[in-house]
Amino acid sequence: MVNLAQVLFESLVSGSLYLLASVGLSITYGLSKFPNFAHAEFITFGAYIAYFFLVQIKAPAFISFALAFLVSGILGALSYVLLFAPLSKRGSSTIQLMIASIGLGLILRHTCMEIWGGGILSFKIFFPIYRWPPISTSLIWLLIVLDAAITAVILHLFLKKSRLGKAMRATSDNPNLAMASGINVELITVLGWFLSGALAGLGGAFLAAGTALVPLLGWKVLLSAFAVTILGGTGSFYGSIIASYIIGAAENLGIVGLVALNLSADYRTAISFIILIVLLIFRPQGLFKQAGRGD
Amino acid sequence: MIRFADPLIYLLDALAYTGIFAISALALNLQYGFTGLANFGHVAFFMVGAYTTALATTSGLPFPLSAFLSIAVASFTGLIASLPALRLREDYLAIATIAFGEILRMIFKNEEWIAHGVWGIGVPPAIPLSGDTREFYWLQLLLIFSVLFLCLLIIRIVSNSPYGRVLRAVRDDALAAEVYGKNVFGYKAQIFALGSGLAGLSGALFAQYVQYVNPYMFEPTLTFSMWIMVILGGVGNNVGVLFGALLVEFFERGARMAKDLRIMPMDPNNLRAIIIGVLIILVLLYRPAGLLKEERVKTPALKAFKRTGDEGGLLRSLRKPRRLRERIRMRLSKMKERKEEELKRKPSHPKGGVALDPGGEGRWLRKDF
Amino acid sequence: MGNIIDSKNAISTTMALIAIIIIAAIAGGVGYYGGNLSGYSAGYEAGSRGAYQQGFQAGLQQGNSSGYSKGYQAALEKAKPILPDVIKIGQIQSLSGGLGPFGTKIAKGAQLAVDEVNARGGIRGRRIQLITEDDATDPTRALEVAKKLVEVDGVQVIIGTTGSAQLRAIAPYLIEKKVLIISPSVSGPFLSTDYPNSYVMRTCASDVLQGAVMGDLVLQRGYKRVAYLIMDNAYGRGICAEVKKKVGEGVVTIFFDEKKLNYKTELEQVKAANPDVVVHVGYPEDATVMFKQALEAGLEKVQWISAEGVYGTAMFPPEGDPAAAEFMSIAVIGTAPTTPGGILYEEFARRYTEAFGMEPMVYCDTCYDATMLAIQAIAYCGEYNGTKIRDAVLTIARNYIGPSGHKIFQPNGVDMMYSYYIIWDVEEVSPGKYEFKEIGRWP
Repeated sequence: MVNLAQVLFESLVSGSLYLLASVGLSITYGLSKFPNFAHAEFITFGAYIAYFFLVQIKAPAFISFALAFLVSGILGALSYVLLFAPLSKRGSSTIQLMIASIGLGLILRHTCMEIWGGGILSFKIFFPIYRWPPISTSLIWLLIVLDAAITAVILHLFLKKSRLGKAMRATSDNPNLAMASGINVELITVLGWFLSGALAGLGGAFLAAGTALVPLLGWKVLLSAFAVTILGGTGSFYGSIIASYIIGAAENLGIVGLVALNLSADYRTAISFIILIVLLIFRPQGLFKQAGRGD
Repeated sequence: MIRFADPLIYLLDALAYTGIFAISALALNLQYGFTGLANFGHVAFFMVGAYTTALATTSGLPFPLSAFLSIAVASFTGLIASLPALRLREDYLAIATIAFGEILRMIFKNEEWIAHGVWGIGVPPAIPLSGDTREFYWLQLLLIFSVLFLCLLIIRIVSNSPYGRVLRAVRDDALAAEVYGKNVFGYKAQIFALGSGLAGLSGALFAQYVQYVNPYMFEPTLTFSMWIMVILGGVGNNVGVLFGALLVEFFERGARMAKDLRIMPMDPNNLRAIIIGVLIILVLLYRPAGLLKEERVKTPALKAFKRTGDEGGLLRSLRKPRRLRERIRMRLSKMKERKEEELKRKPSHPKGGVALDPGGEGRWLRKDF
Repeated sequence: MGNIIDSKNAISTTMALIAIIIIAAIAGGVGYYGGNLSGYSAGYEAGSRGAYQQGFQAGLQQGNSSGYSKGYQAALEKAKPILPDVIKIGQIQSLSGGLGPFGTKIAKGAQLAVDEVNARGGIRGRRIQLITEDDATDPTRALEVAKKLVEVDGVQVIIGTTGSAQLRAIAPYLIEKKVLIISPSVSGPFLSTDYPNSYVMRTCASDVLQGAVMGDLVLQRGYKRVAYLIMDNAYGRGICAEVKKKVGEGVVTIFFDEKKLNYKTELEQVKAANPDVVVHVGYPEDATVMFKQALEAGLEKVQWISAEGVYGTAMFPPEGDPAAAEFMSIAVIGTAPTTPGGILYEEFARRYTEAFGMEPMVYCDTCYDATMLAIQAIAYCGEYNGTKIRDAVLTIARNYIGPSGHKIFQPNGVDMMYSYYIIWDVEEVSPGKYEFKEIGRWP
């Protein structure tokens, strides 16, 4: 009786959203070897930037989203250069970097709340709705799916074919060897952080456009994004792509199951958490084993 | 004369919360500062303790019994949670514990048959006095700080002993500890359970002080608060953690009062959060060990070493078999050499993989034990 | 293990303990004296003794009865409990967190009342100071700020809180301190059952009624297949339970996470159950998303009945989302508490918009009324004392009719006697402009 086609489509949409949110996380996790909790605020910040240009300055949508991409990228790069690089040079441990990222997240989130208020904001765009029975959706979700696909393709080409991309993969795998091979590890890392922030910001802008903009926007997806990153294997780009869709499907199908079992749909986030815990217990390396990584 | 306002009570209230959270922060310090376990789901055990007390006292059990029950249930939950999770690397452990905490909170929120879900439960206080009086607050503070003192004592016993030295070894170099034959997993599990039990105890005190529990009171932000207390105050230093708790709590209250005293340029809530974020980053950059440094492990061996100035006393007190002493002596001198070399070089690249101690230098290498 | 606790251990531990005690004592002393400096009680004491003495001395010196009696009168005047120079009214609302959007607007209702009275000279010439604190939709924080308001600021009457959990956390404390709290928005039934004839009152109606209204609406219109789409908190679950008492279990019940802000799959579940009507409870934050996505899912073909959480122009452009508003105009009708005195509310709405540049939403009027009741009660009883103010409120309310109606209380001293509800609908009066329209009343 459930419209399975719609649920599967929603899984596709959720997966695409998680892809945008978690690819960046995977990159920085691989390059700098710690989970960046400020990633949630990268996502939220991008949404606020898009809101600012779109609603307050009334710039065209394309420009607003592009600016969200750029500005969030700069934020990501700056975070690394000003905060995480100095910390790692002083020999900070993974946990210390993690806590620093939580601190950074606090600062970013409350700065946004100071500027835009703590309430809910809307992008005020009326996205046209398409009905192709049995599926119905609106333009924004189609854009998200499209965007995720484009991102995946571009990143794939970048990482596989371009020199810069290969350098990034090398740095992620084995920084010392990369340095020894003459790769400017520092520059690559900054670039990686830029990408991470930019993708997160763009994802956030899309998410806010499709739902609503609140200060905790990024946190809603962050923990699921961690599930994706770990499922796919930290630092593994292809892993996170596949993992995004798996988690997306799990959550959406899970809701069907929850309601069927008469449980509260509030548990939907619990689904990704349970997957996360099970993963961490039984297969922390994730789906794609990277040489020299994992436990 | 009717006494309306009594600012003293507000101060006592602040101290009460400080005491309660200090116990939790100390437990966290035990887990992270001494043993290197990054538990980011601490609030879950706090919550379990609070709910256990709530349910127990409303069923008629007296508070001391409920508190013991809370410790037991929280410890047990901690043990269960730890079994699968402790094999993990520290960042994975952090994420896993957050996830675990959230799942637990959601269960409490949605399953009304456990504890009234979103409605929450009222909890009778342990001190059967009217809350209007100063006496109530002084007695509560007495209760809370006695328990705090007790926990401090317990943690001191645990950490200032050969057991504690093993914990630090586990923290600094778990592999080496395994090589020396220590059951690393066992130690980790014990400490996890102990820390969770103490968190449960502080949850019990919290429940009877606030006299109401509700799932919305146990969000992950509470865990982050406790972490901030530990990081700011001093990882591995218990008195430091106490100061950290004082700092965090009074800062929050102070920010709220400040807006009455002068017009603030921005919302004090946001300002406070930003300042705390900046403080954390500054501390991590310039004083990563926290405001107060870690203490030495004070055991009889230390006394012997200090008194005689030779490692002979140290070795004798270790009670290792004779043929091992030579190896240990060689290892000690090698470590001393390595440590001196390291001090000359600057660390250049972050070490990954195995858990490091917060100070960035292996304390196991210190000359004086 | 040898010496577990040696002397050095014990000494340093004791020193730590002594340090804690000293810090606490010093802090306590500072707090006590600091508090005393700002306390009105200290001044009062000094005043009453001083005036009486002065009068007595003057009388003795004058040697005549009029001097003595003047002094005596002066002392009596001083000694009679009077209103302080600045009358403080406390307010605890959720200015951030889940109920943030609600609380910020509701708080302005109180501000309006205070500003209006101050503009007319205040209470007996004394200015009113409204001290607003944010509980961030957290019960622990609510208790903290309640203590701060009572112990540090010395308030005897508080307007608030926004949400039920927060009020539940602070009610026992306030009752002990005999401080009156009037809530403009907590509609949970537990207030009436747990704290009758006490220091807790509300100027809004209990959800027992709203649930009944919604249930009646469902039955009246003959819907058979009922789907429940309810936000998972005290408010939502409370209303859901009440509606189910009238209507029954329905075909599907979904409690959604009000923070998730993405409900496509939940909506699919609703669709799958094929209902005639969806009973919905939500707040603007999640409802905006819910309605938007319901439009996408094609659920506008089904009738939706919403509770008053979404009754507010914040849902419409320019503040709200156009898709959500569109959906509301097509498919949603709902219930909301209302006032029989339409003109008073319109007047209030005009003044509110003028003062704050935004339209009031649900519960702004009840907040205004709660504050007005408190102010008038203080003026009536002439004393700044929680118990006296509480009794005065009950008296004043008998004749008080404000923007949210006649505020006379029920015998339980908690709830309103009269609660009216309207059935509302949303109409698109011109492209992009939406309005609420009343299509029915209850009872």
